[in-house]
Amino acid sequence: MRLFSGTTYLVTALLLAVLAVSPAGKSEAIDRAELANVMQTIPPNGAFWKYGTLEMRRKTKKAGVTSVIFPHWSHRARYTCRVCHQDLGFSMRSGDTGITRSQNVSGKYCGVCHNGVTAFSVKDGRVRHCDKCHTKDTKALEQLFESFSSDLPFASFGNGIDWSAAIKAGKIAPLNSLNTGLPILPLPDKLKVPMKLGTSAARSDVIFSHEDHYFELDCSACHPDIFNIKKKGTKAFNMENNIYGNYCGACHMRVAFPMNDCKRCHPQMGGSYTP
Amino acid sequence: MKKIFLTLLLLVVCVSLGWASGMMKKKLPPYDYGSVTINNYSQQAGMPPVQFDHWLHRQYATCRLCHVDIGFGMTANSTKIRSTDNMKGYFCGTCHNGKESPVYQIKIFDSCAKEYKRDEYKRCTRCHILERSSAREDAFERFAQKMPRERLGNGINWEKAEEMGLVKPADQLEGVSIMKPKLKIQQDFSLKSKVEGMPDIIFSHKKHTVWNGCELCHPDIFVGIKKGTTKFSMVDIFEGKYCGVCHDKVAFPQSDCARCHNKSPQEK
Amino acid sequence: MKNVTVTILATAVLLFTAVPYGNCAEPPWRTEFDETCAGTSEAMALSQSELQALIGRCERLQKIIEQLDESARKVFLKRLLMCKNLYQYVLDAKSKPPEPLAQ
Ligand code: HEC
Ligand code: HEC
Ligand code: HEC
Ligand code: HEC
Ligand code: HEC
Ligand code: HEC
Repeated sequence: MRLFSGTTYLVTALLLAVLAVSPAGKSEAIDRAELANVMQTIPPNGAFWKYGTLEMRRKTKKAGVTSVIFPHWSHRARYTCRVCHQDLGFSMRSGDTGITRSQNVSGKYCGVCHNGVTAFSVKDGRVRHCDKCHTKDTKALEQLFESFSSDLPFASFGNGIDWSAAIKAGKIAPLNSLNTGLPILPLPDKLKVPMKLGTSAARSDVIFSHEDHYFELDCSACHPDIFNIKKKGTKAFNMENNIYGNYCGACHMRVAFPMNDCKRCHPQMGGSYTP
Repeated sequence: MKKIFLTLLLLVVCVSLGWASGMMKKKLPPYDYGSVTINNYSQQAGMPPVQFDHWLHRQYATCRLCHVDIGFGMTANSTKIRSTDNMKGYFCGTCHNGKESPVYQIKIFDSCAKEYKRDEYKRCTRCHILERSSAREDAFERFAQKMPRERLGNGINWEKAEEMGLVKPADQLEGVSIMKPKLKIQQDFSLKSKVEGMPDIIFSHKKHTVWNGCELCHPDIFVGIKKGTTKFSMVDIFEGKYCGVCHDKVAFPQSDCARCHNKSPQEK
Repeated sequence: MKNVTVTILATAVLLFTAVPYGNCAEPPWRTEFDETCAGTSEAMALSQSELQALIGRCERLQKIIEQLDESARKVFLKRLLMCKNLYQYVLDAKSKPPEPLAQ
């Protein structure tokens, strides 16, 4: 009996330890139900303006205020990913950052820009504008998206915007730093050549460009957590794991163009996804 | 019974290894970076686990004082601290002894005790923490507000904070440290990054010695007796060896590539 | 065995009286420990014979520290080994002739 209780105790402790270690507690970043949910809401099944638009409610719910709607599209036109996710410390997993009102007001996180100088302030002004972020009614946001996107190159997936074409055409010019003097690494020469990632069939081979990604991100966004830097050291790097939000899917399902836009990565594949 | 247990163990280990890949790691909030949970004996003895915050203690002591003179190990739970050690004035009890500290000029609350009353239990729970309170987060915010900012880790540039005199960590404690003359300084050197175009690393032996003391690094972390003899690569560091022993746990994290890789390839 | 201990204690006591800043309340082994390990900060400046002598002192001290009560043993054995290993490391670094790097 004693042995039994001791063992049960150990097993429970182990399981708990493993749960604590593994970030999501399951083998995929998202599970089937969540994936189904994502597939049903992203274009072409959902609205363009909603892609990459987050509802943040962990703290607001407790405080009894309307949750915050954060659109990536309006911000990424002005700043690259690295400004927010590297320099300002926003996590790339929703809910991780734990943003609080007092942090915003003291000039951290959203408050870095939303200070009344760069953008409308997190503090309340003469005209009440809390509901700009604590958004109950998204009509205004939708309208804003319409006018914002009308002039940008079209893509049939994601935001309905081909972001890299927009940058190349000079339609948008996101800033890569807030001029805080923080160093940005140069991209090593040998990484400037696009890499061919082999797949099981030649037709589905993938061309990966470090340089295109480096325009928006830093090395540490991907290395070493998502991709090891050992050559061929990344295990189980396959389409299924990608779709469940691992590897490329960590970004290419929620914010960067989604994976139903097959041709963007598999240039030799003929048809594109039909729902 | 044993067999079932072993199979279960194996399963759990395998699955947990599989889980580790391809996902974004949980990002620790700044107040949790460098926090260590010490729980070798506490829960068995019916006390909540101990939470030790590096951010709070770095303002009072150098790494060297704690990890060399007081003798704390460099991995969580390696020291095997006992309540009796603390009561005899070792480990946490070196400072947490309920007496006025001559160095810090504050009374630092006492550590463990064999017997205690209800009101004393409050003191126990300052270290044996039942659940995270927002008071600690607020204390961190108040502290960090005054410090020079940094983007990752604690969000504090500790090096600058020390230069500016905002924190003055003690390096020696009477009766604990060997009161010795100022440290002799080692030469700084740069480490080659081995990838063309990836900036080399400037490693300051000098600064690290002041923070850590020689014996913390040699030979435990760096065994090579000649520069370049220990072959270590970024993969090793990512796995928590060599520089990664400190950088990702307490000192600034590895995601700040440019802070180590800061010598431009042209000026070699 | 006993002889060795006695000699060590004798040297320790001698040292103890010779040290001007010694804390009177400290046991002799502690003073010997402080003396022996004070050199870590200038290890690179010590000669090979000095280093060897210090390593020898560490080894003798280790025997005494192993007799202490559990807490003191845990703390001081760790500190002693850190200091001894550093001396050994520096000694190795010094005694290996500087060969030209391969490649
Ligand atoms: C007040 C004392 C104190 C100071 C100052 C201190 N540490 Fe620690 N450190 C500890 C304790 C206690 C532990 C936990 C040891 C254990 O669990 O056995 C620890 C653990 C660690 C660990 C292992 C953490 C883990 O999660 O495995 C690292 C790395 C570390 N310290 C590095 C540093 C560095 C670098 C500095 C200087 C910036 C520093 N420490 C300053 C007391 C201190
Ligand atoms: C170098 C001296 C030193 C050592 C060693 C040390 N501490 Fe501290 N610690 C301090 C000082 C100074 C404070 C601030 C006390 C105050 O503000 O009253 C403090 C505060 C704390 C606090 C904050 C409590 C609160 O409620 O604000 C905790 C928790 C703590 N220490 C835990 C530990 C643990 C656990 C250990 C051992 C693993 C340890 N400390 C070792 C110096 C030390
Ligand atoms: C300064 C921080 C601190 C305070 C305050 C403190 N402890 Fe501890 N205590 C520790 C640490 C560190 C350990 C080692 C934890 C481990 O490994 O599980 C420990 C371990 C223990 C253990 C279990 C291990 C053993 O060796 O028996 C008991 C029981 C204990 N403490 C009782 C108490 C009680 C009772 C109080 C309040 C009167 C108290 N402690 C206050 C730091 C503290
Ligand atoms: C933060 C850790 C750290 C500290 C502290 C440190 N070193 Fe080093 N040391 C290193 C690293 C890293 C190397 C390079 C190892 C390699 O390339 O294999 C090195 C190399 C050396 C070497 C061999 C190369 C050479 O320069 O000749 C010696 C000798 C040495 N250290 C002595 C010391 C001494 C003495 C101290 C204290 C004054 C000290 N170190 C403090 C990390 C450290
Ligand atoms: C704590 C300091 C430190 C940080 C932070 C750091 N590096 Fe390194 N890096 C090193 C050292 C040391 C070497 C190896 C030098 C040598 O070989 O002697 C290295 C080597 C490398 C190499 C050369 C190939 C190899 O495997 O050794 C690459 C590529 C690299 N780092 C990439 C990165 C990236 C990407 C990041 C950010 C995610 C990063 N480093 C952050 C210290 C650091
Ligand atoms: C024993 C712990 C420890 C080890 C091992 C260590 N560091 Fe550090 N390092 C620190 C601490 C503490 C700081 C102070 C800044 C901080 O805490 O963020 C620091 C700061 C730095 C800095 C910024 C200061 C400067 O010199 O400009 C660089 C760069 C750096 N480390 C590189 C390295 C490299 C490269 C290695 C491996 C060869 C390494 N460190 C190994 C503890 C360590």
